[in-house]
Amino acid sequence: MPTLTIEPITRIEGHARITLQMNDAGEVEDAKLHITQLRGFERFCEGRPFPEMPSLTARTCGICPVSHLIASSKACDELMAVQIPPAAVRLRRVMNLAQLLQSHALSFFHLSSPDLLLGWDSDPSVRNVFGLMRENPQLARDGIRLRQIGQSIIEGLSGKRVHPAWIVPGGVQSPMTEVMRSEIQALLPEAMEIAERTYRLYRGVVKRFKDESEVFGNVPTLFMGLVDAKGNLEHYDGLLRIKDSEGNIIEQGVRADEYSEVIAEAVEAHSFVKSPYYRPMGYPHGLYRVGPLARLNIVERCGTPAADEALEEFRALSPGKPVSSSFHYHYARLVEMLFAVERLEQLTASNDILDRKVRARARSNKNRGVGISEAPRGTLIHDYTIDDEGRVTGVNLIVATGHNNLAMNRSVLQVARRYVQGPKVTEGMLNRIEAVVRCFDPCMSCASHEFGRMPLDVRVIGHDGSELQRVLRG
Amino acid sequence: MRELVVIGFGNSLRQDDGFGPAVVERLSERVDDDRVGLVATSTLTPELAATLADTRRVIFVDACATLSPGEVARRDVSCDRQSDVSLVHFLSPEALLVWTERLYGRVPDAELWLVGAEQTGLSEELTEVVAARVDEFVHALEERIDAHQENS
Repeated sequence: MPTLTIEPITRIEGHARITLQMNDAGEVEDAKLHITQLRGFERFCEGRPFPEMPSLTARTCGICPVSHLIASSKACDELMAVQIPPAAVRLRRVMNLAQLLQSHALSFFHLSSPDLLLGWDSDPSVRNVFGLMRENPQLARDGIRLRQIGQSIIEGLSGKRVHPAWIVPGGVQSPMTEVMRSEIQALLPEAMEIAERTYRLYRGVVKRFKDESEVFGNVPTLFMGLVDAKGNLEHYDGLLRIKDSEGNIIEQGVRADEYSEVIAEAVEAHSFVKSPYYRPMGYPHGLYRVGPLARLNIVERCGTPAADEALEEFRALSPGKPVSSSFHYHYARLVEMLFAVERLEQLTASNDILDRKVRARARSNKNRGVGISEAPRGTLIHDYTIDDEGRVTGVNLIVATGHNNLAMNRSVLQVARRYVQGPKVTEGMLNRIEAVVRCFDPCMSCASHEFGRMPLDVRVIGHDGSELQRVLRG
Repeated sequence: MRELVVIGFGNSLRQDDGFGPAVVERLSERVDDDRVGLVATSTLTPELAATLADTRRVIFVDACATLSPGEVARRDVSCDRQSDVSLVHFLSPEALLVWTERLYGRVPDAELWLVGAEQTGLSEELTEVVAARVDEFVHALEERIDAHQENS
């Protein structure tokens, strides 16, 4: 049976490749997304003192270190069995939302906009951020500026844009000053203006992608994410909720330390990323999605005015049911940008955020701690066990890209079956297969990646192992 | 518009590669002037274009593998449209200027100050020969800042 390989996939966070299994009639039989990086954090953290875990695991990624700091610190809070000061919770939330803002900006403006605004069939030499600059310079500048705002907030709080070590077990290292708050507040009106402008622009162009919306990962799956006590959008705390593809809540409120009762992990030989699944439904039927699309599908409301208005418009894509197409991750990301700016306004408006008590201190008081937060790409779980001396004896990390692994594979298969016909591979086919992966904004850890015309090695291999066709470019 | 921005870039976990950030961190202890921007960063990223668009002169500080350990070099940086501008997570100073020009229609005057790296293994410590250049760079940058302040 012929096999077609796409490697590497561009404009994603890290390295991956795709293989398409073709039948003799030239139709796609199966598709697999291979995550080809091995990071090994779960192993080499063993033996380290648990307070080091936030700083160690934050190095997993240069794009979302804040997410790892938060989930890890929450796991360490549990190990210490402390309740962290309320101001520390607010400050962690501020940094988490700033991270969400800059990460969503990178995904939408830099990585996905060239496809969305210039089209998958456009000349690859212009289907990149410079083509975007020519087509819509305001949008390109907005992307730069929104990322800069998110990073300025992170840097203002922590002193560093990348790998800030400010979030620590028990809280945060230092309180927010009045000056710092004023600086953050001064950035928010412009951030809101950009978020609203981009949302309006996208609402206008999304109608062009009816075909892609129908086949870009439009498969029935479960959806999972955190919700607050009212069932509203939550990125820092709360309980896990799982909904099915019809919109029924099948898990109402799973605590962090209970996650393994509903989530199990399978290992596939073709990828270094684990394949988590909903345990009661078994593997691989219990596939689910996390991230912006899932979050909007599981919540009652966002809880802020502009985001709630946008949420209603988002839900009109699929009245009465969850929005199923993974193409609409982009839409959901833009709704979350609105939410992030509004919540930052709310959080910084209260004087409680200036409280000087921002850290609880303790030694380890428990042998297991689980921290869960919502990273930009989805639910992030850090599960640690330690010995009585506080040394780490076991680590389990489940990252958003892992949660989405089965759904991404299913999505790639759907797109490949729709667009790839026969062993002859065209640019437009490849671009759409890549683009469906990009909808999930997967993060295989921070690695340099190119955008625009990708270096590509596509091989069509016959069932006898002979190479039927090879396409090289880049 | 800012008179001067100093951007020290490199990986502070890779010995001498952390020279640029080390210089900027030392400089930040001695300079407190709104007209001067100080940026310590692992890599040059596209959003720095917004900073450069609002700056008259930028000085990049970096370590260099092709110079002899501790050797110092300075050169002007131009907006080179032929430079590799395709990477999102890492840009050269030349490519960053291209981004700045294309997005904002202007570029600042730019210089690159380099020191030759001796080792770039896993450590937060600069080697002795490179560490000895930190204060030298800081003093030279302070003189440059003073000159800008007098001219502005």
